[in-house]
Amino acid sequence: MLERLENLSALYANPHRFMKLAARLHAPVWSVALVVLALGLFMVSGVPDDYQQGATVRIMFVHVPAAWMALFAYSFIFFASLVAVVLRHPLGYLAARAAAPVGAVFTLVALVTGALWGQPMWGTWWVWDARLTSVLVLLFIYLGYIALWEAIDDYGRAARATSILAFVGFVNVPIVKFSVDWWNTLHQPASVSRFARPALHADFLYPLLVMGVAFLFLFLAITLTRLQMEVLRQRLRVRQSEI
Amino acid sequence: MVKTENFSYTPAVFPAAADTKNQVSLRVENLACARGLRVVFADLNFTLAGGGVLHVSGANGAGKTSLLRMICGLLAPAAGTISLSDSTPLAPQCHYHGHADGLKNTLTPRETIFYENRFSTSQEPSAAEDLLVLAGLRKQADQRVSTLSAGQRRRLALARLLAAPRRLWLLDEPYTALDAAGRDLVDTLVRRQAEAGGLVVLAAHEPVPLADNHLELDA
Amino acid sequence: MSGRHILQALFARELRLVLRGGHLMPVIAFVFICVMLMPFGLGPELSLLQRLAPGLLWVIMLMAILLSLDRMFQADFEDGGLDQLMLLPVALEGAIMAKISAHFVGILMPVLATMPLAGLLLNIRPDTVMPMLAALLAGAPALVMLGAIGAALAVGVRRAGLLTVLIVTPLYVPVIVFGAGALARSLAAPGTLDVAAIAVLGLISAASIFLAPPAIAAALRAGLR
Repeated sequence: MLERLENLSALYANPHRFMKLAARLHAPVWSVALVVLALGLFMVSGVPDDYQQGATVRIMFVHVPAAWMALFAYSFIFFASLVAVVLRHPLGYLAARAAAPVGAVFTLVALVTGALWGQPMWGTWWVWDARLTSVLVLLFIYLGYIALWEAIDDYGRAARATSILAFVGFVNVPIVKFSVDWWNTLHQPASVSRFARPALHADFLYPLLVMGVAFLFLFLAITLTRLQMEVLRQRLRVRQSEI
Repeated sequence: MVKTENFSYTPAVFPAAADTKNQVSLRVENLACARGLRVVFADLNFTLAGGGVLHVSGANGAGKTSLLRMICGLLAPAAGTISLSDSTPLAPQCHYHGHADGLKNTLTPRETIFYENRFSTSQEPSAAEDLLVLAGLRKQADQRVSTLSAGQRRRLALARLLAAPRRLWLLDEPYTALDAAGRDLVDTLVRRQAEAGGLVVLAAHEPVPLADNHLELDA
Repeated sequence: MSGRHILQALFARELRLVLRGGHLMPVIAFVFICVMLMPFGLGPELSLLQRLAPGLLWVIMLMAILLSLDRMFQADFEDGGLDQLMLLPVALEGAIMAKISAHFVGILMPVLATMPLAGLLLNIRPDTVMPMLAALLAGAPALVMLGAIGAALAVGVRRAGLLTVLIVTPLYVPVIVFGAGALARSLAAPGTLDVAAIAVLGLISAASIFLAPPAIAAALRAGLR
């Protein structure tokens, strides 16, 4: 019995197998992320200027993948929380916690690059465009999630509370998207130019996809490192509580 | 001064202790409690038969409150099981009387008992007036709970135990802030509950003569 | 007695607590303070205020609800009432609904009732008052249920109020979008009711009445120590 209990807390503090795996994955994931990022940036530098947007079109190669990652990271948090709750595996909570600030930064990058792109295009830094507004709401969802983690001292309670918020937020995201789209058509009949998406020329498409893959691996690499840190922090807690 | 001699209230009768066929007992198996990552206690086993009174003692931090809260489902055990021998759900059959009493300052004692009476699934309408007499709060029955003294509050919280009869009482330091008469009240209530075939788990630092079982938690 | 009687008694007790707690007056005062600040911030031009009134009232209503929800579970958490709530012989979700309903009846209905008066001060067009009330009434249950999720998650946290606002505001976006949208259409075509938008609001409210209680119950259980 006591042995089982030790296993339980060991799972919290010492996921040996995970740490071994993480140590093995660490270098490859970071290498892929950096190599693909370098390749992507090289391809982007070769993209011809847009006949309308000029050189500013290149912001899109950061903006769009960042927005993808903003959504991907939130889905990651949701599924990690789901795994933690359903399989009662504490690693899921740690993974969700590790991913949150990374996702928030991608969201912020998407917003800032959106504003940078909008300045020359729309003549103003910020437009209440449906897509930008949804991403702004997503940023606040991230901030609320991170704030809840920080606000609760007890690790177990914080993990359970934040997982509930992750579920609620996950349901909320598509509803926000739908409602903001509706709101946008109400106030701005589709005259505002947006990022031209569907008729993307192959010259633009391939660099964009490569940048997307680069950002995905960047997200995975940073999250992996942060997750290793979280596990170490848990170990430290155990050591401290044993003293 | 608490007068209990005029007290006419009879609590609900649970399957009596003497009736061994119908006896419902509380069983705790391999229970473990972890606070954060620290193991407070582990491998706790005991059975409390119907009509039994268990006195839990132990130093501060030994897990007395945690044990009581686990039994009524307010705290998740790190391991182990807690069950009644008739396999009915525990939580709705528990009264938890803890440090934070859950009394509402803006209600009066009479209203408090009135609502507690209605928070019960039993058909028996209990006599609110009798409970107020029992708690020695007849004079204060219609003033707000916020104006009561600490001891009077404790007695009101105790009266609540009878307002809605439940099988299992979990009393965390019930003697705190009570004078001699108040401590007698606790003993009277516990004895009645035990005689009715109910179960009492009582955490206290002082010896409890009326307890027939004792559990010492080591820090 | 059955579970329904227990819930009725709980509702009655919570309503009494809400009414005695003195929570109503400050919330109504908050509404009118916000209304008073608007002409200072935007200028007293009546035609401008008239145009902005429905949207402003939605935002004010939303903030008022958030403010009033702050203490909903916190007081119970601090005085041990939450323990007693969990041990009631009814489902925790039911007890939560009883509490929220008492809050709705005791605070939000009166606040809603003051909205036409607040609208009057902002020179709202008389024929938009009814559509505004209809939209507020359709959306208010969603605001309360979603707000209660935030209040339950932040239970036991220092400075829970600010955290609740941060958690809940993103959840409120769809409600305010459709709420203010319904009013915008009524404003464009005077005297009409934007049935579609109000139906969507009602749908969001109904969905949150079904989906929020389990989330609130889970949050409260997670907050136990």
